[in-house]
Amino acid sequence: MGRKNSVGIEALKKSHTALGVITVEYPAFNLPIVGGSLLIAAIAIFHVFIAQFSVGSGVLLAFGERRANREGDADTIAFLRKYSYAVLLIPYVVGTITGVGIWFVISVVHPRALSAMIHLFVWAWAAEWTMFVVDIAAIYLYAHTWDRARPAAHNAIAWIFAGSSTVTLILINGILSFMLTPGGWQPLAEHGFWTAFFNPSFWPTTLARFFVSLALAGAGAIALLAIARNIPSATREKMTKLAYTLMLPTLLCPVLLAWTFLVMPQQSQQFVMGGAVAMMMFLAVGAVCFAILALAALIAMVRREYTPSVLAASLLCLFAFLSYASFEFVREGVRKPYVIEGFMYSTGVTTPLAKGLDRRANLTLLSERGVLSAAPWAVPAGKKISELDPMGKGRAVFVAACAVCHQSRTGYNALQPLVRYWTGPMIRSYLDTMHEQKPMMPPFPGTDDEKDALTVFVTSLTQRGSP
Amino acid sequence: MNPELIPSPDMLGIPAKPLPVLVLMNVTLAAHWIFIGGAFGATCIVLLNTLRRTHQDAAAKINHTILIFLPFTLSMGVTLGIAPLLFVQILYGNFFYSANVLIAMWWLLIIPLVIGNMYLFYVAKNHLQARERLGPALPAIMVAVFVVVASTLVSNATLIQTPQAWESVWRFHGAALFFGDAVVPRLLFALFGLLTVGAMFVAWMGKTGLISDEEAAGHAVGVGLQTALASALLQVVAGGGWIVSLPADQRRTLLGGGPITLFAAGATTAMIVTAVLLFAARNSHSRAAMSAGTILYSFALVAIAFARDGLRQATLAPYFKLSDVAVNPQWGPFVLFLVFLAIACGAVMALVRLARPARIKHDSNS
Repeated sequence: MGRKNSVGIEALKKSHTALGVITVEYPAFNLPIVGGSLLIAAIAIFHVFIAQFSVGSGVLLAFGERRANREGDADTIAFLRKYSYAVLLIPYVVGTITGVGIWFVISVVHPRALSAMIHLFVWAWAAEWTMFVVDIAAIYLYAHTWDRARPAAHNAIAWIFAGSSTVTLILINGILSFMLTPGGWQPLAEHGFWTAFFNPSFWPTTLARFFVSLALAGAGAIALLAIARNIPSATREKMTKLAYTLMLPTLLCPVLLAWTFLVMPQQSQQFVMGGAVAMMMFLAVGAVCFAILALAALIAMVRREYTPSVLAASLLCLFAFLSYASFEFVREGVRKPYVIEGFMYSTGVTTPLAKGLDRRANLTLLSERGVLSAAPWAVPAGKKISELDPMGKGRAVFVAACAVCHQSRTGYNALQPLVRYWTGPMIRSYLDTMHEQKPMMPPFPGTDDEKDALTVFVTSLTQRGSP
Repeated sequence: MNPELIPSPDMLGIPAKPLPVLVLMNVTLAAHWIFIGGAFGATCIVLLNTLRRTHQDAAAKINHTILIFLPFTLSMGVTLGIAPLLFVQILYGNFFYSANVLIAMWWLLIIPLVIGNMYLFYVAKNHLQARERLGPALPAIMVAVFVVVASTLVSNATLIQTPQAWESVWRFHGAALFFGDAVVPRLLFALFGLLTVGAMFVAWMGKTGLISDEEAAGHAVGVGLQTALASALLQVVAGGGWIVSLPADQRRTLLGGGPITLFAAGATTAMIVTAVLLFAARNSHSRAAMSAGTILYSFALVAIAFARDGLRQATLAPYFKLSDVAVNPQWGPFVLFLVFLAIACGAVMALVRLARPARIKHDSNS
């Protein structure tokens, strides 16, 4: 590599916002300013939102077409045809690829977490994959055979689509809910897969997600009714009624969320109840948006308002997204300091539960050997740990143990604004007890010597700039 | 290299014996290639058709039908790619994730590129419908996107089995692709293979009546078979170039006998016989020759997947052996997967039967 490039990379390293940071064992990718974890959250929330919309859409199409076939209602069929194209063009074009995209992103930001999840749930994911194949075949055939297939056969395609996409929701929710509430799961225990899959929050979250899917499909139908022209008022009324009916089950979501709350780990409950301001704020935003949505739908039903304007429909979709995204953000956030509750910290270091199993980056091991023993990518090429000065070593510890969640100077969760007025002794003392002072933080995964080095580095970010 | 840089295999172990996972990975990878090849090759033929000076009406009709099918073909290709993506993580996760990170910018770029291409299919189809002619610019962009994505994936697959290159690639912090160790001939081999598949797709579109205009259908079969023949031969040549440019130890492994050589020889033979069948069918448009060629080429893809994996195992042997990884079987969930697989096969067959009266017409709603 040329001299010019070397200089550029050195500059990147010094800025601490280089594209690459290191987590334990792996090199890992970090998007400057945004950060890897926010990137995962963004793509995951977006994907799950549109994926759930498509699950509910299958049910809406199947029900709507069956009724229209019975009544010989060509206008409603014409609307459903438009709706099926919308489902194809948005969730199935973007959803298919962002679904794979989530793995692409997690694999470069948090490979150890992805690896553990894949090794535990590969057969559930493989089963889900088989249903994806059915989904894709079904929605393309459905959207392209309105004029060609017999009506009953065409409706049967919709039911197959609704069934397969609902099964994908159930399968993925078993995996997602495990991350927050693993229940009695023990690594490598007999029947561990089933314990993990049917974890304590599996049922309430599965039901809640299914109900939300129906509501999102309803909101999508209302948006399309508001935008589309030349829809007869009778069809508009029928479809809006169906959309509102699909939204009704979400009224049970508060009960299901309360059920989920009750089975959540105690610490996560505390975060929601005020222990973490950000989580409380997002929960409040989600709840308010949900209440507005529910109230608007109820008032519209009572007043028989079946012709929502484009503005009203847009607001409906916006509030649905905000509500959904907020709850998803809280679900991700209250899991801290774990990425898999009780098993793996957000740093990729495993908890004492995996002692004996994880022979490289387990907390117990690292507190004896040091985090850098498990993070060879953090040490500059050609150097040994013992050759690093305190500042260099501190920087290496930062990228190995902190950078997966924290930027150093600017950007999402940046350290500098947090420690601006701190002193060296304050930082050093905090490292000993950070997991007690701030329950969202994992315990420091290293030796006292590494804490000293990290103190030197973090102090360089403060206003004083030195201990 | 510093062996410490290679992460350890996952602590939870492989949830089945490696062999069934390996077979699933290679077979599903071949299925993925078939649909992705269908999308890439058919897009190349759209581009070639836009450059034609003769039979422009027939070319436009062929392009219209191809563009109707492209979103489905690519969606299915991406979806079928999920399975080998799962299984490669189970078997080689520690190498796979490292390779992803090392070319992270390009790896992540795949997502917006593929989404963009999907919408370009619709834009091109609507453009063709509205103006009855499609220029080469849009198809050229679509083909270019496929080539960038394929380059990234081939670079990634090569990095997985080249840990000794990791440190030098990491100096670019995810911003550069890896082009060492025979990546370019390997990429050409892959692209010609995908083109062969896609050209066969187009030939079958003409043969099975998906293109309703008789003249256009005949042209589709002709163009498809001729392109498939040319690209199959070029693939064999590129394959030879790939073998020649491999590091000596890898070449010895590939040619030195044993199962890898058997798979490689099987794939080469299947490709050559496919080319002969395509040559025989190019004028007669014989359904029997086309069917035999298609089946044989599918076997060639499976054999390539196994040979490729065998080479990877041999290359990684100094650092890692699948046989050394702990196995913690999950038989119940494995059976669950097989049940779902059977249900899915049944459901897809039922879907095709339910939609059977379907024939694509050139209407504005398709």
